[in-house]
Amino acid sequence: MGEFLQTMIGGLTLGAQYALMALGFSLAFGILRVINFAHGAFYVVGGYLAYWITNEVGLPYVLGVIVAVLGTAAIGYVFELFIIERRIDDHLATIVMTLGASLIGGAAMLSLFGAQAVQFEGGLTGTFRLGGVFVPHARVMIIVVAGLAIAAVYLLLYKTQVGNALRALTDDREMAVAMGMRPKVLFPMAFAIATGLAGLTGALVTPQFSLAPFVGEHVLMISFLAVILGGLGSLPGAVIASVLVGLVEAFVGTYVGGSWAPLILFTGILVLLVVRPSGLLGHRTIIDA
Amino acid sequence: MPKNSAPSTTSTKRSAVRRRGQHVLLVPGITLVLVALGFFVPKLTADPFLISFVPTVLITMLASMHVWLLLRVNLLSFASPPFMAVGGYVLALVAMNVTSNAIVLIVACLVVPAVLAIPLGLVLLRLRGTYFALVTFVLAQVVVLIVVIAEGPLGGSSGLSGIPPATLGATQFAAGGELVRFSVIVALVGMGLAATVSIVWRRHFAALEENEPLAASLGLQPWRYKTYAFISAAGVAGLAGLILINQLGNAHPDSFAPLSAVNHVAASVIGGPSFLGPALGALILAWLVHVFASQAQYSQLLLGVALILVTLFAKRGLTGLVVDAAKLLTRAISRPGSPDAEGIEPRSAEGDTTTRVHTTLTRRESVTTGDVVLSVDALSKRFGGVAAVNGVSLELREGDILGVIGPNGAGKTTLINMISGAMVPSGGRVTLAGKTVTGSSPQMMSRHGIARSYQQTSVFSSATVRENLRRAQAFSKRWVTDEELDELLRETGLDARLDDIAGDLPYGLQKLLGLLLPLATRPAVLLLDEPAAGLEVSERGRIDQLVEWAAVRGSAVLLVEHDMDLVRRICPRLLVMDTGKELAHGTPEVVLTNPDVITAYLGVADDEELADIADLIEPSVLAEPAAGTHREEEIHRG
Repeated sequence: MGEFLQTMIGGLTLGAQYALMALGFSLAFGILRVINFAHGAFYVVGGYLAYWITNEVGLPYVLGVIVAVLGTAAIGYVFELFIIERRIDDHLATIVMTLGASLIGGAAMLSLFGAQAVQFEGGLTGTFRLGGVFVPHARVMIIVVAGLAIAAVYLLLYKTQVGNALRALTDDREMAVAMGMRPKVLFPMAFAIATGLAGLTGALVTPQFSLAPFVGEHVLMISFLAVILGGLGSLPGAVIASVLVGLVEAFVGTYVGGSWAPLILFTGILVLLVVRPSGLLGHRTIIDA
Repeated sequence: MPKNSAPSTTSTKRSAVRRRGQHVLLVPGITLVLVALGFFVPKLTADPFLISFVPTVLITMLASMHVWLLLRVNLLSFASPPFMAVGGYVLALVAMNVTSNAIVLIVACLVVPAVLAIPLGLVLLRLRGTYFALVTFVLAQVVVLIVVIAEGPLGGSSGLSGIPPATLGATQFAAGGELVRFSVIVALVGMGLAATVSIVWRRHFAALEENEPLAASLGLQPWRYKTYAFISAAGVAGLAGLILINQLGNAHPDSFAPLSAVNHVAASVIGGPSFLGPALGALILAWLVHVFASQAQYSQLLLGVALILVTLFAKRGLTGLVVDAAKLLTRAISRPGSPDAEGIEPRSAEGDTTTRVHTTLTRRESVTTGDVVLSVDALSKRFGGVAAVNGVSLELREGDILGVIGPNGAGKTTLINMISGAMVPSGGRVTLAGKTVTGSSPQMMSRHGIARSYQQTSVFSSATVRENLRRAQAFSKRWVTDEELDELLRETGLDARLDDIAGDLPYGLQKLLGLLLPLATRPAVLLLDEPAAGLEVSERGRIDQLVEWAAVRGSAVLLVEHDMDLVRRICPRLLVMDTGKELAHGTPEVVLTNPDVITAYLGVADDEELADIADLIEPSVLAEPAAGTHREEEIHRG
């Protein structure tokens, strides 16, 4: 029973981390219809920014997190405004350009910090006991931040005027522009929020996992899984799917064996695509009519 | 009407450059170069650099060819590493357990991935472009994980080593010149396959890349040709895996890292859509990797920058830039003495012909006998809570013409979309010659004989008019006779522009071409979505003739139109729709004086006003529906 509970809590915290990873990715697709292959790179850049501020400059971890968020958001803003925006209607082109950005980001971190993983402690240490289960403080913080970020994105999209404008632009850009909405302001902003979330995730999660130029690949993969499983463009779908992925990984890892977990997940997703191609909560629109 | 102009005389030179057929000439050229490389380079130099570099370039080239082939059907694939892995491990298993005969190995490494691609294609190709890209990425992970877990047969994460090299008779393709030669031959097999596929189905691929909905509405089955591309691309990637593992002598999951697909996508995009693109891209990539062997970050940085720059500024890649430069050069050379005549091509006196149309054509009688061709029964479409079309029924007989009119948002286009298969109805039935076809795909509808035109111009805009027709003919099960096609071309005035690029034509001619394509499939049912919208008044007369042409030949025509003059001229019967429902149905005279119809259009409710207006206005005024007034009036009344 203790093992089950430990696995359960482990799976849920993992799921919360995954949800945070997938959130920005899902947002970029939901609003801009851009599959951001640079999402993992932004995560890594966020991690390194926080690491640099904390370990090399010597400022508090909180400041490192803030710099990571602002820095990645600023890069995302500029990237959208000057590059993505020019080919926003061409899905393949945006994929290729974000791939390019991902290569550039990875290369930059590689030349600045080297290929080896760096020792990044983060701010919170220590654990506490919950009914016989040990939970690190940092993980609790991640769960709290993930919950707040999800709530904030939800409120932004569905309860504010900016959110309405963004969703209108997604539905029918031409019409929304005719009604006076300004994609040149709103889209870079939305993309900046998405990349800022990636940076935030990097700053918070890399102390838990590891920080090296190539770790973004894993984040990208988790994001893919979450959006395919949850349905492309569905924010609640991505969150639920992330938690599901975390739970499956934890339980299969405990009861079956480590390397089977991803295989079961990936194969499960391929099977899901046969049965229900639109994902768990997605719309039918992803299928060609 | 210009009857004397012989087709295929104008501007063949310019369009020839853009025609895909030119690749036919490129392939033997590349073949020669590669054979020369393979057979002479090692003998001349025995250069250890080239001995490892040539296979590396060829592996990247074949892997990029995988991406390239699928890009031709508008799909982005990251599945080059998994199919390479299949090829590579097939080589390992066959060479270790069965035979190291080179021919057997080549066949196995080509066929096994291709066969595996069939069930995978069944699943993956149902997905839309962006989704397909994501899922191929997932597939790459799955294959690596399977290899890692299959410790027994595939060696797991420590891999398989001691794989014997391919042999043919006494020759071992293990190292040196032999290795290079074998790699070149395998690469030629792969390129030959890719070239064959992309030439045989060039029309299908080009149409899918450019305008899939139009291609499907003309009868092309998108899924089928995407599957062909996917299967052959899998085979090509399998051959890349063969060269790789034969060169390495051991198979290891790290050789097939999912992220290496990024390099293949990059090489394919940077190289461009020409058949030479992947070769050029692979060469550049391999060179970058070689130059920055000790500082991988710089090659990665350059690659990233190149990807963004090419996407922004050179959509047709480096080979496209070369072609453009060549065009500029030839133009610069041929400029003296040959002014660009195309821009000032004299136009025939179209006004004369169209005025004659107005006077000579008389409206057809409503067809009340004969078999019902198309029967639509209580068709409905709901988007969320909104019923765009709500229980509309109609019948069309051979040679019948039905006009469908109504204010914007009445559901007219949705009706056409459902009958043509572009949308699946929420309720109701579509019957064609007694057969229920409700909810069939556009290509099946086309095969059943339902053709449609689009409200906006919809043509294959980067191809010539002639090529547009050839594509339509290649996709459709039915086609007009040559005489009929000539007649149609004359009536639309397109006969003089056969070799012009469709996208360069004036709007009116593009729109007419968009009408001609479905018409030329000799449909049993022709659905026209605002054919006159955007046409000059002088061009609208041609619509009369085209519709008449189709009706005389037994097509049942359903015409959605806002131009009331046109509708009254050619439609013996009208169906008026408002907010998704049928408002009136009958002859134009009866329907257009119906108070409900006038209310729907002009938002007038008062009986006296109605009487006044019915007397005063020409029905053509109805062509400008007063959007919004309707609602306001209702509020005032309430």
